[in-house]
Amino acid sequence: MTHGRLGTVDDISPAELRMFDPTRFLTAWNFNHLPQGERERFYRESVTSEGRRLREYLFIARDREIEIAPGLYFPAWTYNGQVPGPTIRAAAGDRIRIWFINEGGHPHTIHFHGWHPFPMDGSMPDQFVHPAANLADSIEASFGPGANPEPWLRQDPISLRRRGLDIYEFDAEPTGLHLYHCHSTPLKRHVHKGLYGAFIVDPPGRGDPGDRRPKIDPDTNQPLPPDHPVRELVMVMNGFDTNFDAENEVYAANTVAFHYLRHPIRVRAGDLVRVYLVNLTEFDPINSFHLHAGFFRTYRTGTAVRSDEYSDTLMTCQAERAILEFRFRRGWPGKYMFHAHQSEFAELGWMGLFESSDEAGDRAARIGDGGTRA
Amino acid sequence: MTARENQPGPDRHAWAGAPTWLLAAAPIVLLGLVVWGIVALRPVERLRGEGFPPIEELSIVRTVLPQPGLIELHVLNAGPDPVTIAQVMVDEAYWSHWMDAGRGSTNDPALDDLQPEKRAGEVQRRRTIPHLGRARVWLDYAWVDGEALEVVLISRNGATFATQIEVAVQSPTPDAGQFGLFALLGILVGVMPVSLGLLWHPLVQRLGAKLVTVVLCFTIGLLAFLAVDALAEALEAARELPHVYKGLALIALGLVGAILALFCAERWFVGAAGGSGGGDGRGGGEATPTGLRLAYLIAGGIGLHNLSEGLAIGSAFNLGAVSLGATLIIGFTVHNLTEGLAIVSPLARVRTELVHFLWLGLLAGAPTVLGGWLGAFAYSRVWAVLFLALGAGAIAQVAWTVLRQMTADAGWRDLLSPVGNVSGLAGGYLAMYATGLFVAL
Repeated sequence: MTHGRLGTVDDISPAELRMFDPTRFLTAWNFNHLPQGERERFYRESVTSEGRRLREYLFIARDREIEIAPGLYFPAWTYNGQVPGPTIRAAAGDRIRIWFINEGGHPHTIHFHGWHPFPMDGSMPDQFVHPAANLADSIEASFGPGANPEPWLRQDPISLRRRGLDIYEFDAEPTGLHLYHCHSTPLKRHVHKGLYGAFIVDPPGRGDPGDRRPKIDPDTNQPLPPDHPVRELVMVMNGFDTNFDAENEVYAANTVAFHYLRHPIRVRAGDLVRVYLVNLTEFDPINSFHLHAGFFRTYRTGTAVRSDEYSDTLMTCQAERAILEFRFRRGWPGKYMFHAHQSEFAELGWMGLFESSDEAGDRAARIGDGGTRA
Repeated sequence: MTARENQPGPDRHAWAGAPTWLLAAAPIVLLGLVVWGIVALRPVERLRGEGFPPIEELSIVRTVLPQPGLIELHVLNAGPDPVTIAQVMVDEAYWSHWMDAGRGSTNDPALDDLQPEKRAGEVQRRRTIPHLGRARVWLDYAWVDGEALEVVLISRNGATFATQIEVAVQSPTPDAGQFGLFALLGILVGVMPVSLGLLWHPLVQRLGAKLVTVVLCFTIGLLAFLAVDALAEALEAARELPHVYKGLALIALGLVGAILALFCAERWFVGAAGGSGGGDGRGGGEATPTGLRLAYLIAGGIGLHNLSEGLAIGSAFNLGAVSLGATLIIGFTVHNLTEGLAIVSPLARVRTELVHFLWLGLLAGAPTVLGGWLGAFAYSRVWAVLFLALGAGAIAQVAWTVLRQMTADAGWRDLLSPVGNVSGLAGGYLAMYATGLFVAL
């Protein structure tokens, strides 16, 4: 007889990991996980006539059965086949243009938290984008990143949406950590089915986005050198109601129950760990984040640059988000747990491990390289 | 007019000359063709469409706690489609487990030698339970003695199937000690009280004819209570049964089956006695068993009832739903004492050898022991429903036999008008009802 333990048995199928790997998702923004040729289909950068940076994205709403725990599948509604949807990351003041195609089975939108004019809100019934199957291939030549938006913007937006298309365009503002989600009704269903993601607005400027926020030692609240290594991770707290009784059967950070327990997140001791934490849990009023054996600084909504909140536990309601910064100590290598501190959520999947090690140049650092691409 | 139309009798068809075996086989062969057509053309799948979600229905038919730190579930797929168990939760926590649905265990170390893709496929295959297939699931879980537990199976598609363990106690294992213990229990609550009740025989013999009739009325009232009670319990147990077993149809089978079987047995009894009325020498045109034969019939019916009573006690003990205290055992003893009186009531005018009392006591009481064993070590809801229905049918039939035997002498009106007789009927029913209050499991 083996010794019993908490958690799911086996692992996510290799086929699912190719579609969505929670470890890859931690450091994937602006489609930086894709090979260059493939990436251009979904993301392109250019400079506008006014000299501003323009970031263009192709988002496609699709129904897909996703594996949320080993062997357990959920009929999800997704942006680009993944839950959470692709992380959008821009510097404050950058121009954002999202080309949106709805290939799902229901009307969907993308509603961004942040500043934007009314037509870009994606929330009113006549802003719903209607389903249009297999539009992407036929329309790709003139619709999507790099295409000229003028002919599309000249069309009546309502008739465009009836054909399954929309273009959202606005400036990335204000600096902070935001989110996006579908605002079709019934809202509860469209959110819990998987249509949401993180939207990071870095302080204005050029260069490595990770270096643009002030680097402050979380334990002393004193500045760190500008070149101090930083390890940035995106975590979206979510849940899945698999039997549709308005209660979640699975909780997780980034969808897959216990994934980071089986595959610990490797970090280097001393590096500044910066977690972009977004709560998109449906049905439960709150969710939480708890770190073992250390304390973190909380920058709520990422809008503040200094923090007086120093704790090992944070509570958030739905759509509330925060940037958490902490460091693991040199000389104390090991596996440090993080999880929701509602025991029920933790034991239903929202539990993981950081694996801290002292050595430079080990696998942890190499994974960290993903964070420098933008 | 043709010659054919002139022919008298039934119409002559083309197949009139066909051999008999062909007439028997033709519909079956045609049915085979239809089945082949359904399998080949899949008309139902066309109706359901490709994206139609499968119908998943798992039933956790038995929960065993074989030892501290281990839970064993017996699972039946009672739905039309195969079901794959993805994960298992205990009290809202995912928990490590392994299972076997007849295609090998999921914790087989040989699985780790497979390529990841192949391993995932093989694990999925071993986790799949076909229609009406069975599986066992084991969890290494440190359950807490005396506390409640909930185990939930979650299927590949996210459907959940829960079972409650109301009070976690280690399940009895079928070793000699436990067998002995349940035998002792059966003797205490079944054999002993029934045998004690038989000791009323001398009293019954001393009673006048009118009082004997009152005692027989008491017996009918008592049997009526047992029949109603058994039927109610059968209906309750049938609700817990997976739909596929069609609980109500099963009850009808047991009920009617027991009645018909006992009618046949009665006929055989009476026939063996040379067509006479029975052992009391009263003889007569009415072919109803009387005297000793009737006593054996009553004992047999009560035995069937006690079998399901033993089953209920054993399974309640198994499921941890009962702590068998002295009160409960005394309750059963008092409850069953009156059953002995019921058995001797037809023997008022019969000289009976002592050995018959031994057999009567065993026939009525010993099934409690057997039921206890079955309930504790091999509990199955299907058998429980069937036994309860059989018991209800048997007792109803026996009550009817006693009534017929009595109305053979006096008419219905004469039987049911004296206050004494009606009081006897009500008294028998109420005595069982009142003593039954002590034995609620």
